[in-house]
Amino acid sequence: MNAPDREESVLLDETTEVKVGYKVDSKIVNSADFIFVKEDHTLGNMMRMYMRIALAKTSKSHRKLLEDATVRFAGYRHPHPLETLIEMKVRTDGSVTALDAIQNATTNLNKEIRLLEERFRDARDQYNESVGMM
Amino acid sequence: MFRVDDDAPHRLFGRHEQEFKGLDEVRVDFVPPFDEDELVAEEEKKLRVRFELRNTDPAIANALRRIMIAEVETVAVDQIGMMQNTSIIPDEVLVHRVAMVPLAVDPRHVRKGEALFFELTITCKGKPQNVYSRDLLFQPDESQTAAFPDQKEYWSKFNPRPVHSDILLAKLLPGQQIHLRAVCTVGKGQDHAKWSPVATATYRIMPKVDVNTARANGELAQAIKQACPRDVFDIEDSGALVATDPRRCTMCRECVRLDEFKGCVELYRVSDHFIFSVESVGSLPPLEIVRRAILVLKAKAVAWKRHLHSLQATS
Ligand code: SF4
Repeated sequence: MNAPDREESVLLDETTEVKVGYKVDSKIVNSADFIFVKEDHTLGNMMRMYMRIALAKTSKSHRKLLEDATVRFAGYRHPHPLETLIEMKVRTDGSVTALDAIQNATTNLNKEIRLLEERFRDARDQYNESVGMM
Repeated sequence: MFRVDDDAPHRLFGRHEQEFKGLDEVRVDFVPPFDEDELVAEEEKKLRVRFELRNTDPAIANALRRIMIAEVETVAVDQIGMMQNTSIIPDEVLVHRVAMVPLAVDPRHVRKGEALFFELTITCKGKPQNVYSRDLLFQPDESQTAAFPDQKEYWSKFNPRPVHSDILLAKLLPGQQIHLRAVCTVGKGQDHAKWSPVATATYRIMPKVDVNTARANGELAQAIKQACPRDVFDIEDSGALVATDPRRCTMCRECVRLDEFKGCVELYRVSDHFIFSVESVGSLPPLEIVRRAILVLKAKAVAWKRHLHSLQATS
C-alpha cells in the first residue's frame, strides 16, 4: 500500500530531485561532499577509485596512470538500501579544489572506458573471425 | 581480513602493488573454453562467452559485471490480464511463472512507447495436458494497432517468441482452462530480475602460481603435480616443476597445504587481470550483452562527466 513505486528507485523525479549535489564542507579544509542521486555502487566505486588515479603524459604517445598525490581522501557510501543515492566525500591537499579533482577523475574514467570499448571491439572482431574460420 | 599463512590466496600482485601500468595497456582477449565446458551441450555453448580483461582497475571490471546484470535492457512480460484460470495453479503463481519466461526479442527493435502482447489460450479436452511456453503466442492488441498500425508486419520479420519452447508453465485436467494476455515491455534488471539478460555474469581474478624450482624437483615435484586436482603443473625434463596453466588454478591450496611442500609453490592473484564468464538467458547473444554493457558504461561515464563539469565552484 505504501510501498514506493518500482521505478522510483531507478528513475530521477525531475520535479523534486537533482542528479548531482555539491557542497563545500565548512568544517574540514579543502574538502567537499557530493551526492549522486539514483546511482549505486556501479558508479560510486568507479568514482572513488578514479579519484586516486592521475593521468600523466610521459611522452607524446604514452600515458601513464599514477597515484594522485593531490587527493588526500576519497570515499563513498550508500547510506540506506531504500535510498538509491551515493554520498561521496573528497579531500584534497589544497593545490586543487575538490571539484577540480572530481572533474579530473571523470575525464580519466572516460578515457579508460573509451579505450576499453575500442579494445573490446578489436578483440570481438578477431574472435568472430577465428570462430568463422573453424 | 585474517591471513591463513604467507601463502594466502588474497595476496595481490599487479597494478596496486607495483607502479601503475600505462593507460594504453588495457587489453581484452577471448579465451578458449576450459575443458569442463565440454560437458555442456553445443547449443548452450552458444549462450556463453569467456573473455579476459587486463591492465585495468577492479572498479571497471566490477562496474561492467554489475551493468551486465542490472542495466542492459531486455524485453520481458510486465503485466498480465488474466481472463480465465480454472487450473489448480493460482493466478499469482501462474503470472509469476509466465513473467520469468525469457523472450527472444531484441529491445532495440521495440519502438518508443510500444508494448508487445502475447496471448495464451488453452482449454484442456480429453487427456490431462501440459501448458508450455510455446503456447504463448504473439498477438498484437487493439491498443497497440492504433498507435502502431503496422505492428504485425513489422514484427513478423523478428518473430517474437519465448526463447525456449518447452518451459512447463502449468498442468491442466480435462475441462480446465487458461486464458491470459501478457503485456511485454522493455526494462532493466535493476527494476526486476526478469529483465536481466544474463543467467550469470561473473569474473575471477587471474591466479599466479610461482614455483621455486630450486626446491620443487624430483620426487617432491611429482608429489605436488599429483596433489593438484586441476592439472596446473607439469614436470620438465630436468625434473623441475613448472606451472603450465595457472589459469586453471582454483586456489584450493592443495599444493602448499602439506608441510613437506613448504617453500615450493607461492600463490598470488594478479590484481589487474580478470577472467569474465558471461552466460546469456538467450534473449541476446552473449557477445552482444557485453557490447551493450560497455556502451551503457560509456554513456554513464559521459553523462557524469557532463553533470560534474556543469557544477560551479562555490567556496
Ligand atoms: S592451488 Fe590447487 S589448483 Fe591451484 S595450483 Fe595449487 S593445487 Fe593446483
